[in-house]
Amino acid sequence: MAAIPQDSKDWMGARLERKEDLRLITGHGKYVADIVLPGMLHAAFVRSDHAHAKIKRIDTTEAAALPGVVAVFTGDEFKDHCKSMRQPVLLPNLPAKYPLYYALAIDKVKFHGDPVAVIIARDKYVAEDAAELVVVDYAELPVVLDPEAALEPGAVRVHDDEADNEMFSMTFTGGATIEEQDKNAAEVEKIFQSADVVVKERFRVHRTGTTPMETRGVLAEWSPSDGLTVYNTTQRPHIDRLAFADILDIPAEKVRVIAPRDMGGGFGLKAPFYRESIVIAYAARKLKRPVRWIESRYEGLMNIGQERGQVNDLEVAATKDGKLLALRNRGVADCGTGQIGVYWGFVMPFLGAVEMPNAYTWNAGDVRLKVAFTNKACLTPSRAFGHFPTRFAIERAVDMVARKCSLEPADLRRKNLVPKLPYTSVTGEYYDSGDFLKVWDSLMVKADLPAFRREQATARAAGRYLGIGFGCGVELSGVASELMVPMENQPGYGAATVRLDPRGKAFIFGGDAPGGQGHETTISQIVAATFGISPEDTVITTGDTGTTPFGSGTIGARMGSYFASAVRKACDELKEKITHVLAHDLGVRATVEEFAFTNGEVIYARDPAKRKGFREIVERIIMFPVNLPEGEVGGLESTAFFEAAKPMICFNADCCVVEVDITNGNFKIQRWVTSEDVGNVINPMIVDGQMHGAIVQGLSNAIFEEFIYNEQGQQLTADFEHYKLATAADVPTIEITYASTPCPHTPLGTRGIGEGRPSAVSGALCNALCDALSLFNIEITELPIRPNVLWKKLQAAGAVTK
Amino acid sequence: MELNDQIRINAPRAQVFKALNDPEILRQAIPGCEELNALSPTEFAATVAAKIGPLSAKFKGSVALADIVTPVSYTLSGEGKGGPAGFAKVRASVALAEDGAATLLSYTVQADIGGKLGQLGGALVDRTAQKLAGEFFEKFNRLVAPASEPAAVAPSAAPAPTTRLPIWWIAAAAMAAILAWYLLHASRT
Amino acid sequence: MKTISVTINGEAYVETVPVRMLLVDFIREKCGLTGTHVSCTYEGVCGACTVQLNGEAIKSCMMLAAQADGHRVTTVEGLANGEELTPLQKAFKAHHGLQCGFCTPGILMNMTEFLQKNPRPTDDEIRRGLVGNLCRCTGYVHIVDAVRAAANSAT
Repeated sequence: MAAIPQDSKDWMGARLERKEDLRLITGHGKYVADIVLPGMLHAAFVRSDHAHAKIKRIDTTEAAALPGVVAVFTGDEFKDHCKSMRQPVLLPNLPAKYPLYYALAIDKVKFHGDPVAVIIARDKYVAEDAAELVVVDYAELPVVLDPEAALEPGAVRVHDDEADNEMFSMTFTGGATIEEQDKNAAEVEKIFQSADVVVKERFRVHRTGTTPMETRGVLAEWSPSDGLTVYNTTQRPHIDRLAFADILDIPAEKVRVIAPRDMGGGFGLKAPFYRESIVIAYAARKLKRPVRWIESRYEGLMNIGQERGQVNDLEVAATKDGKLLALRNRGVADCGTGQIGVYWGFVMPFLGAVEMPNAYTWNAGDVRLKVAFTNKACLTPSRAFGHFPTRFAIERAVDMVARKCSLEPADLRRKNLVPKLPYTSVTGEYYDSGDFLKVWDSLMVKADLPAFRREQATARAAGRYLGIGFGCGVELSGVASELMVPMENQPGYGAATVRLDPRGKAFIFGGDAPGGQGHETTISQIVAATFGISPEDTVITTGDTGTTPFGSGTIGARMGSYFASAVRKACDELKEKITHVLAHDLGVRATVEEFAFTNGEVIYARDPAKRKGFREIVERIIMFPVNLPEGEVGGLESTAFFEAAKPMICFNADCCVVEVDITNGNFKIQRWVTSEDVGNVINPMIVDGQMHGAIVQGLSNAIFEEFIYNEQGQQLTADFEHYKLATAADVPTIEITYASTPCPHTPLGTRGIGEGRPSAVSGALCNALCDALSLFNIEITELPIRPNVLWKKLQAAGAVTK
Repeated sequence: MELNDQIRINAPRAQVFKALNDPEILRQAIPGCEELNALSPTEFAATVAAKIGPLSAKFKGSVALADIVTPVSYTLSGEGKGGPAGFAKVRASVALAEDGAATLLSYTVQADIGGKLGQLGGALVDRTAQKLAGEFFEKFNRLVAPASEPAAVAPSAAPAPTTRLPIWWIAAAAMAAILAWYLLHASRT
Repeated sequence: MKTISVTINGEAYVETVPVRMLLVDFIREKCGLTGTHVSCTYEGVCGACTVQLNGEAIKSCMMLAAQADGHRVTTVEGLANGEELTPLQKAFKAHHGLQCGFCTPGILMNMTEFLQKNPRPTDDEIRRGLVGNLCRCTGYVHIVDAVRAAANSAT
């Protein structure tokens, strides 16, 4: 375990007010929609009204003739003059079908909202007027919407050039070969045959996902000398740059991608590489004028933000004492058209299947997944990448086992939590470090189950129905290259450049683009603590491929795990050099450990009289590099890369207390308590905020939000009236405890947090509801969960209603 | 979307049936109907304009007739395209029953609405369709029932067509209602 | 087209605009005040476009610029008095009441008026007062903390 170095205690763990806030609370944030370039044109897309149809004809004459319209492009433009979106840089390393597609639809539309044309005009409103004048003649085709039906022989095929609708299929347990998998399946079957307790259920989760408050936006500019510059709402500018270069056939050095300094949330939604980006960049290059597209919420809800739609047929075998033995899962995920770059819709269910075993020990498992094409929008990553539906299934199933064993679900969980890490799950997922039991016990102290049971009994006697439910989640802390390369054909390492200037200020550069997580502040605290300076003396630049080192992106909680670690490494390298020169100047033989960096000074610990101001020594090394120790050269800038040998995790546990009104199914969350292992905490306010936001997103997904397609594949939830997000009045406050174990694999003991956090929420909530209604033997196996659903179940169970 | 209702028309069944086939009466009764053309004995195209305030748009539809049992019942199927607003496919059935000297007209309309119109929300669309269907029938009733309107429109001077026109006005009324609602609440994309 | 005169944050803007131009687009595109944001399809649901019209919080996507002719508008840029932040702004900073910041201007404009009318709100009242502002990042907890703190600091 790495020793925690001496740091200025003021900054690590401080509830520092954020550097980002001043500009954001005074209206001076700079989001992509705030960037204006002279002569900028505006884009509006024409999108399909049909879920599946041949494009017979597109008539753009009236649209093109509207005054103010500069150009109209359809799919043919991209088929003839642009490469397809299916380029190696955007393809995962996993065996799947990758149907060919271009920036605009060609010949066919395959989901309601598929883009078929784009208008470029001098005025935003004119662009939208013109979009309405484009006449598209469609010949409708039958649609396939249910993923299981899509996998049946003879089903309507979504993609003509693919043999069937099975996009991806994998067995996650047993081994790499069919023989090994069959052998494993047989062993699992034996366990099920002889087990005391078996739970078998179908769990269904609806299409829902994440909707950041800022929609997508792309502003592209073409210069004959400098090439393409794109301001893009992207979490992964460095990956985007390669995609622009490859698809538009531009030499890579002539492409620059800038994620605007302020981005209104990402949550995974801004991680894929989208067709619209290519359309806008292409238009800018062809017209030689800047072109900007700001996505409307309508377009966003139609096209992206959809994830989680999945069916899991899950079986769990256990002993009568509640020891979990084996799990067997057959998952079918609905991927939509599968045509969005990097993730192709199926990488999320892939990871969800990997994460199915959760924090429990299993003797064996047989986990399989199929992903099907349908005539719906392709899935996009959403916070709790892929494992929202699988975690719902597992957490509900564990409660069902507890019921059958007549055990408290909390006790059964504790009995089965992985007792000692590191640990490798039955699907091969590596859990590097942490103390699950410590987190759990800390939760149980706060939850006070015995007191609740007494309260519940009293309430029941008075005709009130309270319930308590638990859930837990192992979440990724960053994504190591070991997992990123096969999953996404991209590296996982973190990278940071730290540059000191002659005034003693620190400039930090990182390639990953944040969307509100407070990276500027967190990094400033790390750097300030390391050098003994103030966070005010630091400047963090992110997301500009022209100035930052390569980064895979802000995904999978990479900040606290990878980026922060790279920053620390770079700072440590500079500390080595600074102390090497200072020791030489002071005439002492000393290593870096013998110097304290604190309060703006660098002090020799053995003789505190020997000290120098941080600014002075830094200035000396950069500006006056003479009489340096042998082998040293002036200057103070370092770029460091951090990779963890094995993937890392964090862990959380939830407790939910609800009250249900059995006359109408209404329920209210009385209490939400959580316990977290986030490793060492740099800024507790920021970490708290991440937890709050993630849990409320999980609740909103589980209760309110639902993407609905009708039988013709028409998407009916393309505005916030119909796709409802939780408001402040809908959700409870959240109590958080930290029961952290520092991560032994990162220099600061930090973990990446917040990404997977929503996943355990739906299970904990539904467990609480079922506990409240246990008298009526209510079980919840589907989401969303709403009062009318509970009411119907209560009616069917013959509960007393007024 | 599904609409069904039963209306009492103050005229004998045969007369109502004839009026339902009268292009002039239909053109007057349907809110915003501009054109009605026979493409074949059983297929017809029409353009219905909806005008709400300063906005107007044309909704182009076509309808086919089937299962004719004179003077008792029809079915019809049709579709209409509203350009950027979306489209609708309609199936309707109409039955006339004698009620003394009057007629009881029953209709059922099922519509699949797509595009932006389909996203407005079923309840809103239903209410508006019902409102405009009501307006149609009120006008139709006044045109057909002889006693209340001495200046009721006489059959067109042109010779009555020998081919039967389908009762596609229900479809058009539904589509007009949908379009009108859309225009009333048009939002930018 | 119509020539309108709107006072925003104390400054008179006289512009000729299409009659159909929405107030939020006028503020952002014509006047260059981009602190007010658009997050839904001009439905009036998300609240990111909230400004004050003659001191009253309204959703500027639900109004035409021409309707603001002759009126006073305050946007988030006009809240602070020079360098001096309002107690509510300070509270947001102190309590981490924002993450990505996209919904924040709308919340500040709404809650500024809310606190003027409800100087001592309960948490429930604050939460109900916030139903017209959607936030995805914070889960609302710190926002409620900030509003409560601002209310307490005034008493």
